[in-house]
Amino acid sequence: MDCVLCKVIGIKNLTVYEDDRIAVLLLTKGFTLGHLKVVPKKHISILEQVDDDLLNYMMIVANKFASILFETLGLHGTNILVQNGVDAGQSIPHFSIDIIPRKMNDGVNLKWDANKASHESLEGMKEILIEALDNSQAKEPEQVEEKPIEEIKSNNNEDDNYLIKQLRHIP
Amino acid sequence: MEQPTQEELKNMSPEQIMELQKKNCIFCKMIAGEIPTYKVYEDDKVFAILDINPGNDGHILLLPRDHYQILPQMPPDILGHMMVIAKKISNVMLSVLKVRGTSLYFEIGDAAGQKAPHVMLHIIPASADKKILQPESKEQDKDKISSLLNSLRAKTGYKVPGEKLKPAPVEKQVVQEKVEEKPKVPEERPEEKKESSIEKSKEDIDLDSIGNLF
Repeated sequence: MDCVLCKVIGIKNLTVYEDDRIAVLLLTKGFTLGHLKVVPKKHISILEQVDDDLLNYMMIVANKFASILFETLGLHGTNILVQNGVDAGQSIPHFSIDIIPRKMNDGVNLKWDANKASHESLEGMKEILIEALDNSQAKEPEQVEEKPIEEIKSNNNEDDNYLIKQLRHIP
Repeated sequence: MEQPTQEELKNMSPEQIMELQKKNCIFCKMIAGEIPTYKVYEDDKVFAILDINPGNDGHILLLPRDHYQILPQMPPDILGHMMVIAKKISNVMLSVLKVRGTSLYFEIGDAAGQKAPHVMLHIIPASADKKILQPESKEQDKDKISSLLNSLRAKTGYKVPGEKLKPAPVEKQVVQEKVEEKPKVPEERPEEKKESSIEKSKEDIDLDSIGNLF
């Protein structure tokens, strides 16, 4: 297995908690100090491939660890983020829920430009999504396209492999 | 709506204040149908609407139907259900909106960007042109990481399994038999006891015990 996260899970030098299904890892290179990743031990690429039970459990663990970080680091807040797919910033093709410690004015760029959408565009979008959600309820979730995963793999440049570099640095 | 005076506020119980917050919550009013929304999904636990100020087109807010101010107050079953519905919505975005990714995002507290006093999950279709929720990763101070690693492990009770700390189940049985048969072997006993207690403490870790730690 070439996956960097699978390697880190196996080596355990950044693990702060694990059980038979998941591991919680501390990043040495993260958005802020204390950035954690909740990851499935099994190699799963994207959100759409995670089964409901596991996803449910991962989120509950993430919520607990957000509170643990809050206490441990004396934080002012936390973010829980899933970067799902290459265009969402997912750099490693192994699904994770990220917990990001926040302090007032820490300068982390997690804001976005929001422009008021027109009534017409919102109505149009609403119709599209309602129809698609109705269809997805009627049948099993659609087969996930392989394309996003391929993209992530081919996009594995040097910077994406920071976790591999971490392996050598950690005491 | 009538608002209580300062004097009345002072005399209110925490429950009454919670009730007041709920009455004043704009999202609760949307869920109750008192304010119009672009609703795309609802069930008995959650409610999904289009954000009228989207980060990218198709930006959805997924809310618990009941009023919870911050994420840690959410019951696990509702939180889990929210994620499962979020997955469904994300899946639909990938197939219908032809995007190559989605961001799922919770804000807990002002410092994390939380503006409304009602828990919500942002589900935002990704765009190749407009990157959002992708801050830069920075190398963190090694000493701080090392000490944080220790504090977090201490809180969860996690120990890195090493050879010494992880006797195979068969050996454990042998150890117990040894102790029973030959109680007069003082050299071996302390270490064996230590091993099995560590093994036990590892087995005991569950989420409730983590929860009780704070």
